[in-house]
Amino acid sequence: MPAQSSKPDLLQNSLLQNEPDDVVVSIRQLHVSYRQRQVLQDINLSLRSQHVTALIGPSGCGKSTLLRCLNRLNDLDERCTVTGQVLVNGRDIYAVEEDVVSLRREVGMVFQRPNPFPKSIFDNVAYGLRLLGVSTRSDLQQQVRKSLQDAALWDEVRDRLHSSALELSNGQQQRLVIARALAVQPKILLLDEPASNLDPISMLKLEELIATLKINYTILIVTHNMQQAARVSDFTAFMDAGELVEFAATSDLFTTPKQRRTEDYITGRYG
Amino acid sequence: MKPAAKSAPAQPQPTRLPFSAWWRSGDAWHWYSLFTLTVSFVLIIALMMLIVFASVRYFWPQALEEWVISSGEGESQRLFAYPLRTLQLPDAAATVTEGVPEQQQPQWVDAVMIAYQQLQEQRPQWVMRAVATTDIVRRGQPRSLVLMTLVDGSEIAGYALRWVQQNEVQSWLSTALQPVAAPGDTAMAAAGDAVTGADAANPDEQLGHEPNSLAVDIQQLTKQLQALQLQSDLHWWLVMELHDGSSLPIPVQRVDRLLRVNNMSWKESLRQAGINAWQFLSHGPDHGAPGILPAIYGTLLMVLVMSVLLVPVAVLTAIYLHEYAAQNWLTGLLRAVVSNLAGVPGVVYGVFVLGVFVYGVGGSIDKLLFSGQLPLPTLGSGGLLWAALALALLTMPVVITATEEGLARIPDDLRLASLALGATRTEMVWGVVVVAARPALLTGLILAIARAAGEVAPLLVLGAIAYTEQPLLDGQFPFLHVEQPFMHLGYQVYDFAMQSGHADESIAMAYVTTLVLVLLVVALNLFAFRLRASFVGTE
Repeated sequence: MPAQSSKPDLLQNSLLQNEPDDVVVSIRQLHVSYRQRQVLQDINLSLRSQHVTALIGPSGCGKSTLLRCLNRLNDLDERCTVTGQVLVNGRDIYAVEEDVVSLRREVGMVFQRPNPFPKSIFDNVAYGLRLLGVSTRSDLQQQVRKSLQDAALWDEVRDRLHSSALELSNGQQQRLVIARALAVQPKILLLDEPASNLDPISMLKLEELIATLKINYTILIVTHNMQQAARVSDFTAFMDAGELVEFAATSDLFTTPKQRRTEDYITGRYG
Repeated sequence: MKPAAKSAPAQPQPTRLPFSAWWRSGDAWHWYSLFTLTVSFVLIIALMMLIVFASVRYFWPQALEEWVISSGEGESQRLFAYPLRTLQLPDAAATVTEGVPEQQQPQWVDAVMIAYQQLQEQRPQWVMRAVATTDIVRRGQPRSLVLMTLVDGSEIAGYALRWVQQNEVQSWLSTALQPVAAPGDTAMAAAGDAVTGADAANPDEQLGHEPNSLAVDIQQLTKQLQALQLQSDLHWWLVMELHDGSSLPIPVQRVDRLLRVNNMSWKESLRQAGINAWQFLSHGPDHGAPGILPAIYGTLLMVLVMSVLLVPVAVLTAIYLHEYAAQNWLTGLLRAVVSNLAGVPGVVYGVFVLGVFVYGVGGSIDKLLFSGQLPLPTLGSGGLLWAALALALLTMPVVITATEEGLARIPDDLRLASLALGATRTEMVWGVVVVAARPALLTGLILAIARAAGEVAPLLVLGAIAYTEQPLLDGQFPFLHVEQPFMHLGYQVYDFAMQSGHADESIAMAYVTTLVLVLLVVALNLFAFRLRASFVGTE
């Protein structure tokens, strides 16, 4: 096994070199440790603009940690140390002069559990806009409406924008949270197992939404569900024990995995 | 599942568990916890019943009796009196008989404590005295006896004799307040129908010498009174016969209410009790009758000032502890210190504020800003502000702990979502966390208010007083006079129960004041619960 670990890097670099114009995010030699424990080792990964990249792998392999490196949400925990480079649009986001607040506006994130604020539907979507300083009523209304339309929620909530967001169903809440993230006009969307708490119908709606969103956004989605990864993503990265084992076009990875570990995992022989 | 001891039939049922097995099954805890719940519930209900019962009895109109007591040497005296309680008095007339052991000597006599009307400076006043039962000649509850309440709150007991016009009053006044020889003679001298049939049939009517009162029922009398009050240009007066037989004319404008207290239906009594209760609640003690309105104001204002002092400090402290501070041993120690402060007795806070703030800070402020008024202290003596400060310190641990628990219940997902949208930490805390934690903040405030409203100990040294004429709130700048001493419901209870001379009445007033305090706290809590419910729902 250890002999194989250098192989993804070659693949990675070749991918990077082949399509340099298209890459929005590139992660280079990223190491993350939590206290003394290494949770991510030497991650190299590039995300292509207007494509969906899926991160799959067993629980605890570091998928969510990797995701949170991209908007520096790991900074909040002082026990977490990050080394290596993460370039977003060519900018090193871990550089000293980087403004975390503007980075997080550029890189939106949606969490595993729907987490609308205990406010009205309107105020949830307007939250980020108000942080940006949008204060006139008409601007707010217009942008809230557009975000809700982009998140395919407008038709369901247009008559009750001022009722509590907590009254929505789980699936609606998750789309509301996406609308909230879209409102601040990010370029990249990080989705951390967005469908894991949803019923099949809501999940299907969410996948359709992802398919339409990728026209305008670069999306990185963490998922446990391999069928889902196969359905929504263009590229898939398989992670295991803090390492990036294999990264390839989704169709290739699921049909002709190059690594033994990948094959074991996607065929269910894992563990 | 019932305890095994429930029944003992001749043939034991096969399904019944033996006691040991039942005990091991743990069901005993079910019954034990139910038992403790029942005990505490019954105790609370009993306490509330006691308070409510004592309060209702205080307001319920009491029968007013006519007493004739012998005052020695064959003389007798008529009194209009409320019997209060029976007691035993040392017998002044007891003579020591030779040969009888001292323990068997009659040294005590039965007596009744009464509140009766006496003329003091030509105005009838209630006074208390004990009357030995052997001195009572007659005792009864004449139905036509009238209790007149004047607009200033004072009361006159007597018989309503007749209406007179002002020009006749002069002649009445010349004879007024002249004691008539014997009480019964008035009735004899006055012509006409003294006792109605109904009155005569009353077994209480043993006196048989009821004066020639206006023999109409009280509704008619009251109607007449109101009609006369309307046409005030005629200046009618109502003549009352007092206990000593003298006549006292009262201008109708001064009359507030007329009651035949011994001849009231249940409904009338209830109505009177309501009126009495309203009088008590809506007036200050300066009204002639007791009242607690300024104490209600004082309590509410103090709680308000306390909340203003308390909430910002406590909430910011809790936010720092939970949102900003590193979670290490020092934070844990601080948290333990804050929690343990809740156990410090209230009077310690009172003395602390008295020493440090009243004499120290207040005294210095007086020297700097109010030196013109020295040696009279402005902020250098107890007052609303300092009492509110002591209560704010006292309740701060409760609010900090409740707020922190509320903050801990906010899922981290919300914080992350806010930060992921580009919020700074401050924007996250105030825009999301505090907003979501508002119900918890209110819970903390409710607990603080409930504790503060009933706390008396720190107020004893910080300016709570039994009576003040200085209003806390008036039209003069700065409108709310926080440096003033103030009246407070809890302190009133203490004062009524401990310090007052007229034990019977003031104990009852202590109960009533307690009821008002409890209801006030319940009302504040209900208000906060409603507010909380509106926060939990939508914006």
